Amino acid sequence: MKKISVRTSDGQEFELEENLAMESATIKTSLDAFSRDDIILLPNVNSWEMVKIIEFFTKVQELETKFGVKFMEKKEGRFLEAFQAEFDKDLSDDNLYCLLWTVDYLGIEVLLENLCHLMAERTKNKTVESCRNLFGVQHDYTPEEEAEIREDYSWAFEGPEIEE
Amino acid sequence: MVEPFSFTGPPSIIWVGRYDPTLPRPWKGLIDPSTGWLYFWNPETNVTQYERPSAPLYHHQFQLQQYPYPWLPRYDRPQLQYSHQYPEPLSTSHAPICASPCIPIAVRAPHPVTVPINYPRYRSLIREEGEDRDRISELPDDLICHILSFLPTITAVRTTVLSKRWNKLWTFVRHLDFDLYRDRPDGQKYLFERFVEFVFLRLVSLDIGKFRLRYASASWEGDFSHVDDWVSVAVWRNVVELDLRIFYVASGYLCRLPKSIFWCKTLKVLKLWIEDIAIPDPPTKGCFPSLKVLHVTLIDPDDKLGKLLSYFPVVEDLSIHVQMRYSYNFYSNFNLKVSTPELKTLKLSMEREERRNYEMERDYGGTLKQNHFCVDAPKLENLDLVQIPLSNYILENPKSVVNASIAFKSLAEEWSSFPDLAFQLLTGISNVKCLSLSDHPFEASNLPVFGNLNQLKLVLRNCSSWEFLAALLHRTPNLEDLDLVLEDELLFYAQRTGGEKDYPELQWTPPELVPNCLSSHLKTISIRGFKGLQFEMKVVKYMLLNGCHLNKMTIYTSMLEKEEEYCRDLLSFQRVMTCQVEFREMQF
Repeated sequence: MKKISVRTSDGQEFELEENLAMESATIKTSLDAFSRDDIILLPNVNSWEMVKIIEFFTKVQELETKFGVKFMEKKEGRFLEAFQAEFDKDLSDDNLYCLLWTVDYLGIEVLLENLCHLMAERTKNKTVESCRNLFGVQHDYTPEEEAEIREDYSWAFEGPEIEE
Repeated sequence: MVEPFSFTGPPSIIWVGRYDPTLPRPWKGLIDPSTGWLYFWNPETNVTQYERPSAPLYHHQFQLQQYPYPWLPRYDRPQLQYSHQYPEPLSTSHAPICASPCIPIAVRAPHPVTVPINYPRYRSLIREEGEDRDRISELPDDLICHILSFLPTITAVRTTVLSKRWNKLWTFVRHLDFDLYRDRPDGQKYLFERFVEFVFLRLVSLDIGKFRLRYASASWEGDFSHVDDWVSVAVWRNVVELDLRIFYVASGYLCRLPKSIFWCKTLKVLKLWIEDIAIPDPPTKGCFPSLKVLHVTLIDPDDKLGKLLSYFPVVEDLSIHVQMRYSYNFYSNFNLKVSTPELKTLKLSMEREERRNYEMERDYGGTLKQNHFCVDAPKLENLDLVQIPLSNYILENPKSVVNASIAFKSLAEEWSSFPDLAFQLLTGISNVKCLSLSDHPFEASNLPVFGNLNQLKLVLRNCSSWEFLAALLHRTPNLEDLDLVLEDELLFYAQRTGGEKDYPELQWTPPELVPNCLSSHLKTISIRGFKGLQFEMKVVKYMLLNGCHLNKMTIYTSMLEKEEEYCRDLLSFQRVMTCQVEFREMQF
């Protein structure tokens, strides 16, 4: 199996198997034009993220041989749940955000779905302030503007109390 | 002005921009390694330019559905256009969010560069109060909308207060999830209805992907016209998945689904809890043209629902769950005829409420009428039956079934005919490759031969099951993977009271002939719920001894520490060289 070399932002090089590298839409389209001997530079990707992604793929391959099902194609629900549990405990909010960004950049669909699910789970039951922290949002409303919005959407905010 | 450099030969290092499906082919987005700026390259003509190549078919506007790469469904999401995405000129002192590319940050482009909508965002190292902090620019809008789509709509709407950028982001969400009891625990229906209308009026997405609704009517008028409206709007907006459950409180009033649902061309998945939803009479043909997945839960079905299933001509995945409540119509009957040429996966399950004690006296005097399940599905591959009374279950064309999972439950009424019926069913599906049985004691001589069976999973509930296992192994010559789940409570009790020897049926005698599969094909065995009982050990040792091709035996036990001596005993037991024995903690 041909290996594709990628280099992350801190200069570390990783060798990916071709079929795994093809899961990344970004790498795939670039490989359409360029030869496979070239090193692909990914300055937006940190090495710890690359390690996580490779870990994900290895796990998927393990499960695929065990169950004989192509998880990537079928997107089995059971597989998603098991993965979410595993990813969830390791990733802090910041790390999840960075990983999500990177996976979006690379265009790895299945992993992206998982991470979006995770992110959505963490968004539930968060106060407005902690939600801002989660998404890295700058608070740019003036207090008056915010009060106005809260009034417009009053019944949306009347519902279940949002806990920290 | 800096010219974008052009390739003289194949580059040794490639720096790619974020995948952008709206770039017209064959253009690629690349980054100039020397400056870090984004430019576009056409490999066919070898033209490089800073300006984003114009896309004749796709504008930077709100896109509906079609994208050049339909094989990537994620990019079904609309392209968003926000002026705030374009960075302010670099005169401001704070670090730009998504302005100039990469490092270094304070570089100003020499001339106005047309920044495309999907401008790749870069990390920028900013120094905040003397610290280096890796701060990424914000997530792209379409990704945020995708994340919001997984949330209950009320939570997604609340994000409007996060910041100005988020003010209207929720309106692009494509999945809607309304639940009266979750969103308004105070049960204020009027406010809930206003909220749903509020959302529908402001929703920008022209296409709804998924619409989930949990609603109830508490008024005596039984006014369900709202549901009719909402479902109509969803259908009009090309809904793909519809998940409805209406809880009724007022009796006698049925919620009617709008007729427009029949012609909805985009509807692929339908999940209904039919208690008080009345499906209107369908047109004679042409209804549900794209529906592939149907999951229904029927409460106390009656005869009418038999013809319900004739409405779905192209369904591939059908799941029917029947709940029979014990009431005056306990003895009602129904006929379900599933006749679907394209059906690949079928799951039938039935739940019967047990008679409560005070109702025992009131025997309504009827006999259990016949419930008929007749399934005609030539392409059926996956079959899953949970506690279906076998007396009236007819499966035509069963030879195509590849995976089957059957949880038997024999009813007192059909005890005598149960073995024959079970034999009939099993013979019918004897071509399966994967079989999962939750057994019930019946004569092992009634088993057919499963010539193709590769994987077998058995749930063993009582002592005579072991004979059943042995008999089954004789009839599965090509078995490669065996998974046993031991749920013997009787034995566990026996062990605890120390009276194992008092139960003669707990003694296990090995079969006279070694089953063919054990000696020739069986590769992996898993045993869950191992308790280290005497005869369990015997069985395991027998398998280890005779499993000539065995690769791996995995034993899941819930009391790992206490079973240590058993572990050591088994681990040191003789077996084929290639076989690996592993003990694992059982997780429930």
